[in-house]
Amino acid sequence: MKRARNGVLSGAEGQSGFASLAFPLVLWVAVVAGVVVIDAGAYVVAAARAQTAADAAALAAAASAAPMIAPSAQRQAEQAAVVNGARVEYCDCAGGGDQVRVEVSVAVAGLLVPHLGATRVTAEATAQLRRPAGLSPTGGLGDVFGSAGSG
Amino acid sequence: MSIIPPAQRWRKSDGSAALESVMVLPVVAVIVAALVAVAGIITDLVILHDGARTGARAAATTTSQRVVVDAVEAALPEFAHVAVNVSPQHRSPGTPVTVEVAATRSLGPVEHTLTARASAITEPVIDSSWTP
Repeated sequence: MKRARNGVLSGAEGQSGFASLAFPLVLWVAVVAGVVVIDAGAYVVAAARAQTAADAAALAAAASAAPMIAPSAQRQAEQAAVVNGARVEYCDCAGGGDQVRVEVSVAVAGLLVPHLGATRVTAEATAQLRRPAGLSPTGGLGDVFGSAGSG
Repeated sequence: MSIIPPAQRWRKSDGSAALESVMVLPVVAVIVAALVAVAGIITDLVILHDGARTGARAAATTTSQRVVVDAVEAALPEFAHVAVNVSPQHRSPGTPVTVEVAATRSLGPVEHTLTARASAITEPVIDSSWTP
């Protein structure tokens, strides 16, 4: 790029070399935008997977309160989380209650986000065991329904 | 050394910026199109995952494969055709069941298949009359 004697770019000379300046700039912006899109996508997909795992873990833990399932609620929640590629971070699965709250985490697979500290994304779900009317809390073949919500 | 008159200098470089812009703009267009395509794939993936989750929930509460497929298809109206795979097909209470959903999307001339998978623990009382 040429400069006029007084330091101000002259009209036509200032425009020459526009592509040589713009092309690296466009490439740089494209690379940054690509990383942002891929990382945001990886985070969103991981969040969806975490919510699925949390829902499944909470429902499994609540279902374990039914008499047909022998393993504890905690173990059932962990099994449901593992098959969904997640890890149980917290399980409010105290025996005796009909409601469980589970928090799980899933690893984030991104280009830059994991190196910035966001290695895992968490999700929370709550499930409640509802027994049909007329059955005692510890007996009968109760139907299990779950209600889950993100935390 | 000859001195070029200002008017001649203008003529010499006139249009060079426009020409260079024409060279850069297709590159920008391709990059923007690629980013939009990637965002679309990610959106499809999340929607597909939601369908898989619905299928896993259905599979955990029913013994019927048809009910699972119907639940997935009802959850994914955006896709014309989805392939649903439930494993294991015969499930018992307390065991994991996995639902894998695959759908094809065309990106211009290129077709790509997206898959999503979700699992659930089969519930104590499974019923074939599950409604999503």
